[in-house]
Amino acid sequence: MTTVASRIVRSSPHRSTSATWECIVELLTQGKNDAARKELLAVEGVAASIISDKAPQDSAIVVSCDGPQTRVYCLYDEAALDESDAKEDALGYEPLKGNWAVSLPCTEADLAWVQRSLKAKSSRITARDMSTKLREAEDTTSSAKPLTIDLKAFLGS
Amino acid sequence: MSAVAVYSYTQSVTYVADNILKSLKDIILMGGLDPDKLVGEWTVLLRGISKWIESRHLEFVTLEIFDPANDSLIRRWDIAMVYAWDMDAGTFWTDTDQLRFALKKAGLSPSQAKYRVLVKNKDGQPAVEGWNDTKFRSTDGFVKQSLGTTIEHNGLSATTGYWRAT
Repeated sequence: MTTVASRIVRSSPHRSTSATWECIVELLTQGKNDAARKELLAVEGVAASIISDKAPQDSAIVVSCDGPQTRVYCLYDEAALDESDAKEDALGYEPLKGNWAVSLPCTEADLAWVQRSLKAKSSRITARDMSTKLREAEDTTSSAKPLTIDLKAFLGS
Repeated sequence: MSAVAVYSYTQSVTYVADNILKSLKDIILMGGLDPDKLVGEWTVLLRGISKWIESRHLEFVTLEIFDPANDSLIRRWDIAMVYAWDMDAGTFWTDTDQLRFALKKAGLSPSQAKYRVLVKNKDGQPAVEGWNDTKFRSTDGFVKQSLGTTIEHNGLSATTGYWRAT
């Protein structure tokens, strides 16, 4: 069962494509985790290219780890100017805890070279076709509820 | 009540600079080459192009596609700046269809081809880390085809053209 949190980052023209990726890296590394920061910044050009294609507008950058999953979307053009549409506040957990991985959305035309380029730089950062549907997010409140056996129903069955 | 977005000059610079790099990536990819070298230089390229549009020194950005065997030009793409920014213009767009059509007409580059990005600035440009002086490859025997404006943000725009061998 996966708990999911989302963040919405203002991209071009509020921030450049490179600055957008650097903002996402800050959000994920929370000012620490030097090794992860280095690995994420090593793919800045590829990520910025994907951001310039507006792939993360409707298809999330998915960050998985031993804790909750984080989905990051980007705002563009007029929407990027409006602060109220964004959600860039710090996450209340470590989004790169333990065995982390990042999946970047990508246009079909770019997928082959992006996958090849990422593979040469990182084993944790991969790309997927942006039209691939993500699994529905689990409701965090229901997943947190403890379960117990309904003895009456069990014995009566 | 109606509202309209108001963009600053810096935001127009960001939009145009980002879309110049996106256009270069599309030209490289659709021309049959690997954009990996371009994205490896993305941060430095964006830093320089943005800085020199902001200071209005940038005249044009060039993508040279060349044959590494004899260092000769195979094809060249120029994206030239037009500084007519107007806060009240209220328009922005990037025409990728026009590029796609031109690329189809121009054809694929040979698989051994290499490329590099360079810029032509007006005198007095501010220095940007990661950039060096260089020379353009000769365009003797080439003719330029213009596609017109392909990127625009509040009057700050870029026109694209390519050079092909005659």
